[in-house]
Amino acid sequence: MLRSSHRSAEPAARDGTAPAISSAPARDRAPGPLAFLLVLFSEMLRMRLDWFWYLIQMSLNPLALLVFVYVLWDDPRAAQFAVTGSLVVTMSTSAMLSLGQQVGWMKETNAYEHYAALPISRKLLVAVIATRGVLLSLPSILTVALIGHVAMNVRITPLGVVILILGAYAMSGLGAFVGFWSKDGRMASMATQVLATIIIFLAPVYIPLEQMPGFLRYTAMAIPTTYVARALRLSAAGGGLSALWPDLTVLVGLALVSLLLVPLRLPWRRS
Amino acid sequence: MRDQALTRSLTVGPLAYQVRDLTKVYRGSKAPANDDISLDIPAGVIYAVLGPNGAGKTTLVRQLTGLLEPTAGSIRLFGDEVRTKADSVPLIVAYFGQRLLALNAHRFQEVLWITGVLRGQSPAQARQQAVALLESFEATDLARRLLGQMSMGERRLAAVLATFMASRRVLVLDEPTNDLDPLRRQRLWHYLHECNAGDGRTIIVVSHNLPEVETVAHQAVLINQGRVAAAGTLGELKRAVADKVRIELRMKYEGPEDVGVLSRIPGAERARPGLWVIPAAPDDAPALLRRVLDGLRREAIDDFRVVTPSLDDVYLHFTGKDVRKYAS
Repeated sequence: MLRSSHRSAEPAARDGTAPAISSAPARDRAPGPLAFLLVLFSEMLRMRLDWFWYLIQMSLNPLALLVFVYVLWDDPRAAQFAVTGSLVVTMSTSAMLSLGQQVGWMKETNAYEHYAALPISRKLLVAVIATRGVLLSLPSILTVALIGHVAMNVRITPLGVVILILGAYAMSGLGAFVGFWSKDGRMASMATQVLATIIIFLAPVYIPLEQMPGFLRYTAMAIPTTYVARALRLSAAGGGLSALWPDLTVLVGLALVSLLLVPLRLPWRRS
Repeated sequence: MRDQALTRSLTVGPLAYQVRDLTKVYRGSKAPANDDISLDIPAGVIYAVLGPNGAGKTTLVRQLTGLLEPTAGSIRLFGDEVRTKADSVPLIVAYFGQRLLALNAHRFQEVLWITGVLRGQSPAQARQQAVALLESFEATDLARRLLGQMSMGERRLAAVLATFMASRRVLVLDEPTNDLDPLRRQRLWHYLHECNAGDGRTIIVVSHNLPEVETVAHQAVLINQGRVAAAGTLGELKRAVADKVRIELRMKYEGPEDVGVLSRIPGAERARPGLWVIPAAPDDAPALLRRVLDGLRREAIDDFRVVTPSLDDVYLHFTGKDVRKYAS
């Protein structure tokens, strides 16, 4: 089995069996949690130069849709749908769209190979870039939630925040899949934007499921945002775990697929 | 010290890499990038991978590091098949690729520190080694600068130094000296020699800089059109061209009578204006040189030397490409 000689701090004799590494570290890789935090830190450093524009990109779309739906939709449920829908858009933008584009860009610029040559796993990298998306969406989520609470009297509960985070991880697999399989950053960008339209406008994100055209009610069941939006609205209306468990079960399942199974299918090393 | 290390590796040492019948055909391409390559890389040697552009050198080392899947054949790293244990390769091998890190928003020292800790060093160890490397390469002034604001050579240096973090048993470096200034290039070769001589690390280096490779490498493989053109110790490679010493003659003036004299010598070639190269058998070289000097006008000669075979000659012999024509 491949193994490093670094486990011993003793300079091994140069007898030809294994080259001695006199400055050998005690381990040959960082423990999982430390590696996760380090790679997350490294990925967050990328935002050092363009974090402002990133936040604008993340916030503008959901805020515009929030106002648009609230003002134009003549329905008593408008406020609730406008706020929860915009929160789902924010979460989707970070977890799927940005993540897919990020992975495609990493492939194009060799950052992907940089990680592949280090002792970290695919699962860790996917978990890191999904978490990065969640962290970067938080300011936008808080802004929308605050506006919804103050101006529209829609209350986002702690359970609602959990649903959004769970939804982000559930969607991350889709983003990672698109990013890893795209030829380059440009293709990833186009593919994720097409997907973003589908998961936002072909699912009951801003409108109730029963108002959608007949066949879309069925296809919407295959779109993860359906479950995030429905759970979020139920929680905002005061629903507890007993009402939410079917949607939460789907989201937990999708999150597990995203974080555990999707990485196994990713072309970490190229053929 | 270099010879002792080499002798030990060749006589009693294990193989770092054993490559057998390795073939790589990229999707959409008919011609193989690597074609039936077999070679042994002993542990503890500095091993040079040489060859013209597009010969398949990078394809080879990317397969050695597990970053690229072979189409056929096997690569064993310390006895284990790389294809099935690719995730474990980074525990043994540190790789520097030709394409630079896309870490534009990272500071130089952050790149080193993060790499070191991910490879198992404690944060303090990583900081200590990063500082030592920066000092060793006279790059302390770069420590806090962002990679995106650096020159290509400085960014390359950051990536190369990151390869040294946490002292892996095998270092694979793909053209590490490109874009580096002469001082840092020299320092890098010296550092590689130190790593090998001091710690017995196996170092595989792809390079076009034959004179520099010649000063540090123990063994080399010459790849041409995806195949192994020659492989062995530098001595073995040079013996293939041992019968070819050459006389290099620099001319101040090349009058018709001088050109006439030189043109009549079998094999004499005007490599470029002012430089003539005359091949000779080792035993005949002194007499031939005397004949040439006697035939030419003294004032027309700027300088001359008898050159024994170098890696340049090996390269020429096996690839048909004469690097001396373009040498300064």
